[in-house]
Parts: sequence; structure tokens; C-alpha cells
Amino acid sequence: VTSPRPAESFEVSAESRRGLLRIAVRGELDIATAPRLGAAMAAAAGHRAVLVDLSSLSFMDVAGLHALLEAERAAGAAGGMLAIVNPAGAVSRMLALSGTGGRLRFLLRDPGR
Amino acid sequence: VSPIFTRRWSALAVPGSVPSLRRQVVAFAAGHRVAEPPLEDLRLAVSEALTNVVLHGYRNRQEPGAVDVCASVGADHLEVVVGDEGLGMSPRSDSPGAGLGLPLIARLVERMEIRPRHPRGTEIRLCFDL
Repeated sequence: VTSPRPAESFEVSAESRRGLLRIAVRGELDIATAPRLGAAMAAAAGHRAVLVDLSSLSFMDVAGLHALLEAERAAGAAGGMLAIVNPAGAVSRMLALSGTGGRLRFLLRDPGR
Repeated sequence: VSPIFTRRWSALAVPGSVPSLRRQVVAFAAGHRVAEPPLEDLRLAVSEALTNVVLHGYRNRQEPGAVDVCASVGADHLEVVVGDEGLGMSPRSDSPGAGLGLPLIARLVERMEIRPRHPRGTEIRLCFDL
């Protein structure tokens, strides 16, 4: 039995501007890193909208998807809404395969770009 | 008869083991000329199987047990077995994965088998055609 290796670089950054909180997630979102997305959602209070940018997310599994659904619930509880932008590659495919895309709100055009 | 290359890993069934084992299994497969597809499907299916063990395998214990993985690559197939010595894959009502993991695995693999281990535990076998 070996100890877990250190995780590959995973980053969550948050930027607030005029009532919009933009959260960018980089790396792999799974059971090991999902709590960090949840922690970042603490900044959602007082924001009308939260935008989660997945353009730099290279991998996501069901635990990661669950973290996104939890983040949406947290944004709603804080009186705002949450939308996903820029899912790409393996993440986009996972969202389609899981059949849960309808439970999340996606913006086809990123207002920040 | 084409050779079959096999490797085994074992780790504590804790969240930090999931990315570590996932990467090692994918690196092993890629090192034996497994390419896209099914490498991305392998990455996701293995992650779901490992996460199942972390979430469900030892939920009746104070301390987590082991999760072990055996990957085999042959000329025309790839097989990964993820096993535990605990309660196995049975779903629970408060599942953090919302019960999505196993149905997703079923969509990613060619064949899947879940069976008890003796004297205890469960293993899930994931098979991909190459």
C-alpha cells in the first residue's frame, strides 16, 4: 500500500467585477480536487451571477460534475445564478455522456471574452 | 500468441489516490501503444471505478482499506480490474456521485463485470477492445 502522490497542478481562481463572479478552473476536477471548487464558492455571496470557466479544465469525472451541481445550488442559495462557459475536449464529452447537461446552465458565448 | 503485459498497483482508498492511480493506469496503457480511442474513455472509467471504492468500499470502517488495480494489455484488448476488500460498489442513498458513476462506466467500456471477491470485497472489471 502506497501513499497518494501529490496531485497534478489544480487551480481555482475567482475574479469579481460588477456583481459577476468569474471562477476559472484549471487541471483535473475529481474527488481529490472537488472540495477546492466548493471552497471557492464561498466568494459567491453577494453576486448576481457566477460564471464558471472550464476552458482550462483537462479532465472531469462524476465527482467533479457533482461539485459543479453543488456550486450551482450554492449560487442559488446565495441569491444568484450560475452558468458554465467554455467546456472543451474530454470535459465536453463527459458532460454529454453523463446525460446531466440539462441540470446545468451553459452560456454558448463567453461574455468575458 | 501475443504477449499480455500486466501491472498492479495498490493504494489507500482515499481521495488523493484517485488521480494518482488514474494517471498511472493511463500512462501504462499509453506506454503499451494504447491510443485514442479508447484512452480517454479508460481515463474516465478508471476514475469512476476508483471513486466508487473511495466512497463506498469502506464506509462501514473508521479507517480506509486498500484499493488495488490490475491492468493488462494484449494485442486486441485492454482490461482493468479495480478491487477492494470492503463493501464494494453497492450504491447508497446519500451517494455524493448521485448514482451516476456506474451507468457512465457502462457507456464507456465494451464490457463490464462486477463480482464479489473471496473472502471479502468486490471487484469491477473494465474491458476495452483495441
